[in-house]
Amino acid sequence: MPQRKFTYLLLISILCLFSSCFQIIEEVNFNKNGTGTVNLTVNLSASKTKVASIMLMDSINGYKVPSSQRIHQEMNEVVTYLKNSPGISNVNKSVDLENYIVSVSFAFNNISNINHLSDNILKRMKVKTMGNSSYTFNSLKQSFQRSYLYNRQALSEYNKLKPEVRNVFKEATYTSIYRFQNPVTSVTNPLAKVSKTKKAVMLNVGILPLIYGKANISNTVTLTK
Amino acid sequence: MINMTNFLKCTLVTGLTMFCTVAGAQDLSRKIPADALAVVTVKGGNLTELMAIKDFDTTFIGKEIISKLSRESNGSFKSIDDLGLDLSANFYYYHQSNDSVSYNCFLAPVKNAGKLDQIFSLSGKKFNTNGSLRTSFESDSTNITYWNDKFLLFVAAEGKSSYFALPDVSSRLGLQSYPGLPGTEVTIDSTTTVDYTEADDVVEVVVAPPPPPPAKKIPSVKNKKANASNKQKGKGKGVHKNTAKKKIAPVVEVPVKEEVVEEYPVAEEIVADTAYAVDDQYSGYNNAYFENEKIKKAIVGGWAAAMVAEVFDRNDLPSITGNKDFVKNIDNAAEVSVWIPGLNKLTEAYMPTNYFKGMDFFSGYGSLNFKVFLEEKTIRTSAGLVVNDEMVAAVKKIHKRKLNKKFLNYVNEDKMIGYMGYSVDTKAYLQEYPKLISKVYGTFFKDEVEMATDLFSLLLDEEAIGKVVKGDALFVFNGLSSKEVSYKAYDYNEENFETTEVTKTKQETLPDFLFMYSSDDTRLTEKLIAYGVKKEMVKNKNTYYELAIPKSPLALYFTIKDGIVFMGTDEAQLSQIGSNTYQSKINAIDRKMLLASNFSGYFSPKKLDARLPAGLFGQAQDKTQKTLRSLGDIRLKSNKINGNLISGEMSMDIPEGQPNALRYLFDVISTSLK
Repeated sequence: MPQRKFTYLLLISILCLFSSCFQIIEEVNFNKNGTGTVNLTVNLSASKTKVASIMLMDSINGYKVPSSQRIHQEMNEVVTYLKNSPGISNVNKSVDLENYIVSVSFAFNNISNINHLSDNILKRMKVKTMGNSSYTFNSLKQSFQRSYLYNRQALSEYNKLKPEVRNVFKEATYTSIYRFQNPVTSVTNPLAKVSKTKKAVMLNVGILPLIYGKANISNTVTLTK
Repeated sequence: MINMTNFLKCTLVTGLTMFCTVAGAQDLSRKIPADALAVVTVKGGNLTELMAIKDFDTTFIGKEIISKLSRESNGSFKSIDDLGLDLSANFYYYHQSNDSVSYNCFLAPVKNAGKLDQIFSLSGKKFNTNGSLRTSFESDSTNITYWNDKFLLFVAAEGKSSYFALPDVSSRLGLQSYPGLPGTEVTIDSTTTVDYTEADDVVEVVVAPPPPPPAKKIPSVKNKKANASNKQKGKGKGVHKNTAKKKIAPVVEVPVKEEVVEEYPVAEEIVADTAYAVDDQYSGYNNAYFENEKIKKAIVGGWAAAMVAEVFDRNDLPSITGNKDFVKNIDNAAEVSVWIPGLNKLTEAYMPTNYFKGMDFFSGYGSLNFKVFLEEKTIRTSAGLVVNDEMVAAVKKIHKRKLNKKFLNYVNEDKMIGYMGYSVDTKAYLQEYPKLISKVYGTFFKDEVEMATDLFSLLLDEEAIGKVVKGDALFVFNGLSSKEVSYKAYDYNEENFETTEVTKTKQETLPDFLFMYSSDDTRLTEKLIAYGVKKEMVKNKNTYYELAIPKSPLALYFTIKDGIVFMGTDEAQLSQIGSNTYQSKINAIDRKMLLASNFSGYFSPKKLDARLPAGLFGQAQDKTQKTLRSLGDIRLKSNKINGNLISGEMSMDIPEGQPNALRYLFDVISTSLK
């Protein structure tokens, strides 16, 4: 636990120097038979100038700056974790240290296989999550549900940060995209957008409202039977 | 200001008895105890000369104060003058502390005690009258206010937890030990040692009965127990000598404040259920805590009351006016001055002595002063520190070096926004620094520190290092520039939100500066450059070099010329320096500041405003630029050592059209508050 907290603080302290923002993108492609794929991306490219400067240093604000080698090692640990998770296969990672974009993709046999998986992966990618997520699919009702429970601890942790560190989160965003084979008939989250083909749903929110519990990313997507 | 004691003697001798009485009554510094650890003086006379009271009443701040006090006093408060205080005399804050209690004291001259009485009465604050003396105790606190026709003294007293944690004190006062919060451990370190001596004087404190039970019932103090426990000997070193039987204001419970820091409300419907039941452990903790607080407040309040009473009752108490250093530091021209007799004394009162035993962090340091001067065209602050002879000798050696005059050939005031000049003698610094550090550790690590400092000197060739980096440097800030940088982002098509990686651009703000330092031996720097060129990290551009930072739009350029190493962000500037074509321009003020001071600095907010890249501060851009435009040129410098005083000052010019610095400050504060 202290190790995890340390690495979290490390990420925060580095991010505090960024001029702008970071992006977290979660894509789920869901098949009729309950299988599918997930792609998780953390994009720091908009702040790559600052990241590049930081990467030249050994430590900053008293926290050690991870080397390229360390980042690759951490990502390999994420892959190993996924490969050992039940119902998960075809695990791939991508580390672009030119633009500071890291992503991981994998296939699942059943939507229940990815419950809490995204949270755990983001944690392993040193991104603190704001709540607890779970996914369910009711084949009879053809409803895909993403449940999200806000965790007050996120705000408590956020409030402990120095004001200059908090600025990092001001323009940071979280995007989730769910793609289906059947058209969508309804969505419950008013922030969700449905694509022209009616087969994809996108939800884009700021990280800050998530920290404050102001934004809710729970959503029930009902598909045509 | 002059020494008040001498002043009184002189006036007595000359027979100006009447004048003497008035002057003595006006200045309150004689009421400040000799052992005060810090004194702040606010010269009301200077301030009211810069801004009349009627003018202050019409300022934004004045209106706010009057409005607030008027509400509290049913509209009878119409001017700051209605406070009943003599705003044209000196006001003081002083701090006292010993191992058991600290006092924050505010001393104000009274012009009309009746007005003060009225304010207290109308605002619902009770006070007792005994002849000309009025006393007011704030309920549920150790804050006390006494006043008479001459002056007012407000004291906020705070007991020290280290004292109340002492086993014998805790036991004598009947303090309860906490049962411990779930998940926490409360322990009292029985090995803690605090310098504690029994005082001769006896304190008898009577805890008044608690008020009627409030909405939330908290067990009341058992009077029998409290009385028994409070019949104890006071302690301390002269800060409190409590002989009188004092009745302390009723003690009421402190409402528990919930620790919630939120900027906007949390959507309750999605909050995970993290509530927990308050169990017996918490209520046990609360009960013991509040019981203890009541007892402690009664004791501390008693000490404070006795201390304040003594100030009013006695005129023969040793005063700070007997301290030569305090008197020497009085400056009639300063609107505000802070005097600290010794950093050691101040820190000793608060530092955990058992952890830092034998260490002397401020060895060689004496009194400290800080002054604010509000002048016609500038706001000026000065700071001074008295050091011992040994330190003076060391600092003089270190400050022997002056800034390289050739640096001025590479400064152009039309281009620069600010600078920082720095000159110390590296060789002297490396020789003196270990000696100064060894003083910090006093006698505790004497042998170890001596060995470490010897090893330090053995390993370093101070003279050789002093040749490579002589110790003088100049940083010239030329502003900020924008450069376009690209980054990767994602676009989502409307058809099926398929993601496409795209390249976008944005403006990155970069600093524009030139840094230079003197070096008599550039061989090492040249070897480093040659190594960089060989490894293709550095490009040779004939008269200068380029160091490109990977993935960064910022590039650094450097060159060596005339025993000066230059490093900067402007390629054209480095090229001109390399080819002897740089055009310098510097005014007499900056030239003098740079060459005469070991440390000097300059910053022009207006010049920065003129060159600020658009949109740098986003929505705050307008407000930032407005603030920058309202500020004058800022300069700071160190002064030459005067006797044992090391000092420096900082000043800011006030904009044209402002009558004086005080009015300008009020303008700035009002604007920012609106």
